[in-house]
Amino acid sequence: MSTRKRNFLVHIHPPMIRERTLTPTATFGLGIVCLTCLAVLFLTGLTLLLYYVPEQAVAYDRILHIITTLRFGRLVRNLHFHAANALLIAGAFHTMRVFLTGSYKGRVLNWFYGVALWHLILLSIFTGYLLPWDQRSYWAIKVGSSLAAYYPVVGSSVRQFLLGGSEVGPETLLRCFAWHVAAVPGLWLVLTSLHLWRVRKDGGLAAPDGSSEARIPASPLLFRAELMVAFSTLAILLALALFIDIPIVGRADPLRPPNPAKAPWFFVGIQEMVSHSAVIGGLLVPGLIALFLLLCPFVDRSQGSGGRWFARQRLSLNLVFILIGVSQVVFIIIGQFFRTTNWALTAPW
Amino acid sequence: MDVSRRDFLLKGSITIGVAAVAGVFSWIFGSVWTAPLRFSSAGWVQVSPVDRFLPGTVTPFPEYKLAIIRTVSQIGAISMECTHLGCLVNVVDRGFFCPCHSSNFGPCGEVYSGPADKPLPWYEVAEQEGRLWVYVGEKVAKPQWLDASSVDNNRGRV
Repeated sequence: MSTRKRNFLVHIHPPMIRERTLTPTATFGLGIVCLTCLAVLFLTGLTLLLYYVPEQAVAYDRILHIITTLRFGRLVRNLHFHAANALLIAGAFHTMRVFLTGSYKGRVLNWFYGVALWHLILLSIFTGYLLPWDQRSYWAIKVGSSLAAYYPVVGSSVRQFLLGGSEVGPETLLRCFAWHVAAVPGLWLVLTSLHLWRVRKDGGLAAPDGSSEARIPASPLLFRAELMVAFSTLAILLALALFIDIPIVGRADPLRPPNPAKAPWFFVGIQEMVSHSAVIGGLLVPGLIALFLLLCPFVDRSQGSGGRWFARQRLSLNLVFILIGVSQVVFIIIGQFFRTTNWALTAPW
Repeated sequence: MDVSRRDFLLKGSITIGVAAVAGVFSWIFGSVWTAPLRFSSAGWVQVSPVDRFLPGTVTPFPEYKLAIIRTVSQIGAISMECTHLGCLVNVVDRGFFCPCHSSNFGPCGEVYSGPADKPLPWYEVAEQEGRLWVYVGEKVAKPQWLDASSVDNNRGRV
C-alpha cells in the first residue's frame, strides 16, 4: 500500500499479519468488542459528566432530570450502562479465549496487563454503581464493600479507604465519583495502550506451531474485519439502549434496607459464596482464583506455542479454568435469581 | 487511478456506513451537549406525587404560577398568569378569575370575558417514578395533556 495514507489507525497496526489473524474463530474479535465498548463508555461518560453532580442531596434528582427532561439523556445513560456490562462480559470471554488457547505463553507481561485490566473493569463498574444514589446502588455498594472487609489484615482499611469512612455516606459518593471519572479513565488509557502495544511487540496474534507462516498485508482485510466487529457491537449496544431502560428506584435511604440486599450482579457470586462460609467463600476461593490467574503462565509447562484451542497438553489447566468460570456463573445465577427475602433459596418461578 | 466497480461499491458502502454512524452519533451527542438551558433544573419543577391529583380537580401552585388540571383521563398544567397584565388568577368554581381587572377564564383557560383577550397558556408535563414534573421554561398556547391512565396504574407505588 502507498505510504501517503499512513494515518494513526494504520500506524498502530502491523503492516503484515498472519492469515490466521483473520479467521473469526481465532479470537472472535473480542478485543475489538472491548475497545468499542470502551470508546462508547468514554463518549457517554464524558457526556453524563456535563450534567451529573456528585452530591448526596442532588445526585438522584440530577439522574432523574437526565433521563426525563434531557432529550437523548435516557439513551446516553442506557448506553453507558449497557456498554459497561458488555465490557465486563466481553472481557470475561476475551480472558477465556486467551486462556483456553494458551495465548499467554511467552507473553507473561501482557497476560498480567490483561489481569490488571480485568480488575479495572470491576473497579470501574463498582465505583460507577453508586453514582445514581438510588436504593439499588446504595445497598449494592453497602453489601459489596462489606464483602471487602472479610479480607484479613487489609480488608477493613481497604473498605475505609474506598468509603472515606466506616459507612456509605456523602464522602463515599465523592470518592466513588473521583475514582470513576478521574483515576479510572486515566488507568484505562494507560493500561489499554500498554496492552495493545505488547500485542505488537509480541509479534501479533499467537500462532500454533506448524501453522502457515505466510503473511498478508493488514490493509484492507484486517481493517474491514475490525470495522465490522466494531459496527456490530455499536449496533447491538444501540439496540439494547433503545429497548432496555435502566431502572432507577427510589432515592437512597440508609434506614430502609431492601430485603434481600444484594451486591452488584457481578459480585453476587462472591456474596453467595460468603453466605455459605465467610472464610472459604469470601477469602480462600477468591484468593485462590486470583492466584491461579497470576501464576498460570508459570505453572503451565506444556510444550509448544500458544494459539491452539483446547490443546491436549493443557487439558488440566483448561479444565480448572472452565470449572472456575462455570462455578462463578452458577453462583451468580443462584445469588441473583434464586435468593429472595431473608436470603432464602426459592425457585424464581 | 483504476478502480474496479466492485471496489468502488465496497468502499462506497463502507464510507456511507461510517458517515451514517458518525451522523447519528453527532446528532445524539450534539443535542445532549447543547442542552444545558433546556435541562437546567430551573426549567423543570416537581409539583407533587402524581396520585395526589384526583379526577375532576384543579390544584393551584401559586409558587410556580400554575395549576394542575386533572380530567377523567388526562392531566395538564395551565399557567395562572393573567394574559392581560400578568396578575395571578384565582381558581374559581367554573374556571379562573383575575382579581386585578376581572378577566374571566373557563375551566381550560378559554376567555369568557375581558379585558384579557388571549386564553391562559399551558406548560409541558411529564411523569417519572410517580412524580409529576412541569417544564416552566416555556409557555405553549395549546394544552399539553398527559395521558393519566399510566398514572393510575402507578398509583400507590410511591
